[in-house]
Amino acid sequence: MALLDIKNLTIYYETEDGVVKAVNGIDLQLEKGESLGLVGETGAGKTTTALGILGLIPNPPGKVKGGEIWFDGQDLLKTPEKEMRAIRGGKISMVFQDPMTALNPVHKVVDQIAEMVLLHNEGISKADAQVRALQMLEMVGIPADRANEYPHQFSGGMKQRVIIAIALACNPEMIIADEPTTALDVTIQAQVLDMIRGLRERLGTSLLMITHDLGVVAEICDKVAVIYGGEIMEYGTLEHIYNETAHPYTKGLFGSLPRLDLDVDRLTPIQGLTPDPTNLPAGCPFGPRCPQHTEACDVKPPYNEISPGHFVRCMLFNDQAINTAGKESEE
Amino acid sequence: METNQKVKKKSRFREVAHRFAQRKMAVVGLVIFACLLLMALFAPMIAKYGEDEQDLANALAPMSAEHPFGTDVVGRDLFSRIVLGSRVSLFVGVISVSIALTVGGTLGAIAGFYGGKVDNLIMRFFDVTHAVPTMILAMCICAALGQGLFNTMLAVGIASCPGYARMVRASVMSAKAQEFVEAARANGASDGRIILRHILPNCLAPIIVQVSMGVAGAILSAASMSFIGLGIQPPAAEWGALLSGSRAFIFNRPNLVFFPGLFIMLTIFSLNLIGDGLRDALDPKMKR
Repeated sequence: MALLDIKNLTIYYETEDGVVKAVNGIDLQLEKGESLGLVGETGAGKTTTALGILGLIPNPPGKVKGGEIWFDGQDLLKTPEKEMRAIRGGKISMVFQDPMTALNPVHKVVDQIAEMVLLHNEGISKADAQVRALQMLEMVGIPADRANEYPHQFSGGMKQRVIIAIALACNPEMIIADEPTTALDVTIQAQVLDMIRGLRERLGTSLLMITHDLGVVAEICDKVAVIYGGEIMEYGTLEHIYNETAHPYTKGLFGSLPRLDLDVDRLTPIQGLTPDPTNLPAGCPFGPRCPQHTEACDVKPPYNEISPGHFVRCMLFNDQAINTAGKESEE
Repeated sequence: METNQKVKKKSRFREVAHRFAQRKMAVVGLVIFACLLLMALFAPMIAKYGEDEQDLANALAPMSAEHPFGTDVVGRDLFSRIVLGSRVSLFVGVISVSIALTVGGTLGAIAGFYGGKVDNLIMRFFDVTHAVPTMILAMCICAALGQGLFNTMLAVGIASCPGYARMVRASVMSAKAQEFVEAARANGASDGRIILRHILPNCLAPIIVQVSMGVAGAILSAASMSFIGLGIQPPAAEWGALLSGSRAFIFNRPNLVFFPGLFIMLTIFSLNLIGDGLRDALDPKMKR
């Protein structure tokens, strides 16, 4: 069984201006020790999915309208708040996007790591928690003599290391990283990604990497899910997505990346804008922007498996489906 | 990987104390306030005369070696009365602010953190009490509870709650929108822990400033209460009462107004300096 199994998750924000359909029936699996990249544009529902897993959708206005989130044999949507608190940080921890604001400015970094240890290990002494915190700091490459400094004395990359140390402090089974490198400059990005990959391999932690950067995904993920308008458009291994790209949206994403191996004068961006989530198209959400749009796209396309483990939600692949039943057959 | 290095940890208190000590003005404030406290503590030993020891023959005497600050209209030694009154004034100031901060601050923090209905309920209640001027409200409470030192502190404390509630609520609201609060929640912290450990330490600056000003305000409020006959009753000495009781002699014996005012000012001044220094010392970003 998969460590994380999301079935038909639907999350809406019910605001005064209408219902924002942020996540519309997402299915995702993450195996133990695996890393999955969740790729999509701004507003595609990536962060909402992550917060949904942790039960942190701000309510009101957010509301989980349906679906199941199975984690380790437990439906997180039906778990009481008290148990959820033990799971957050204990079994699933989250790395936030902006290291500048995700650390509390008034506490020393070592105390912030130790706090996480104290929260999830009942009966541990403060001194032991401090020792554990120092070990974590060294593990992410921060010398112990800087442990008693405050976040503002650290650079962005070091802060992100501290945040990763906090996330790993209780040996979680899974980490959700919400664009962990977006706020960092490119050289630091590479360092942080290297570190995440190394630690993950050593500790065997599963990773759900949320990003809009296909380069980041290629670097550290085993599988990729491309999300658009709150739905998974294409799902498969790195090979499937990068070499056998099927969905026109995924193709569009690659077309808008500069490449070293091809000599092109102009990039080909995807025309149009992401759909207004209060007013999604009735059929395929990507339909209005799709260069291969046909009349058939005005109904919801099914989620087809076009080769083992490679799923596409697009009318173009309707006749290539090896199994229209969807992902159930994958396990 | 093994961390054998002992956690060399300076305690938070020592660190803050060290940074506080580097601020000259803050230390000056602390010294003044400590002197005032010592004066209050050893008041009976410092004062040469009793609180209500009259010497009608020597009424309205000017400043002299015998009466350093002069005497009042019934010949009581002003210096002794100020020294003895410091006990009441400092006590009233500190306790009523503590009451206001505990009640108003807690409710304000809850209102700001949870928002929605809870916020509406608490803040509308404070809006109603805020509509009545603080003095009038304190008078009403005092009138209902009766006179006396404790009732005065309670009245002044309750009447100044809405201000603290508003201030704490506003700073909690701005602090809770920051990402580290969401991060704390994602790490599994409970609401109480988030408020106490993550939000309130980030709201200390405005709270400290308000408190140091508030003590002064409370001393003056208590003084006004005793002036209209609801607070501490004469002949008990209290700085505010000394000040207002001598108004009639402001032109021929200005010393009677000047000295009580000076002590009230010194208290406020020293508290403000301490508050300023403390705010800087508690803010890790000010570390040099």
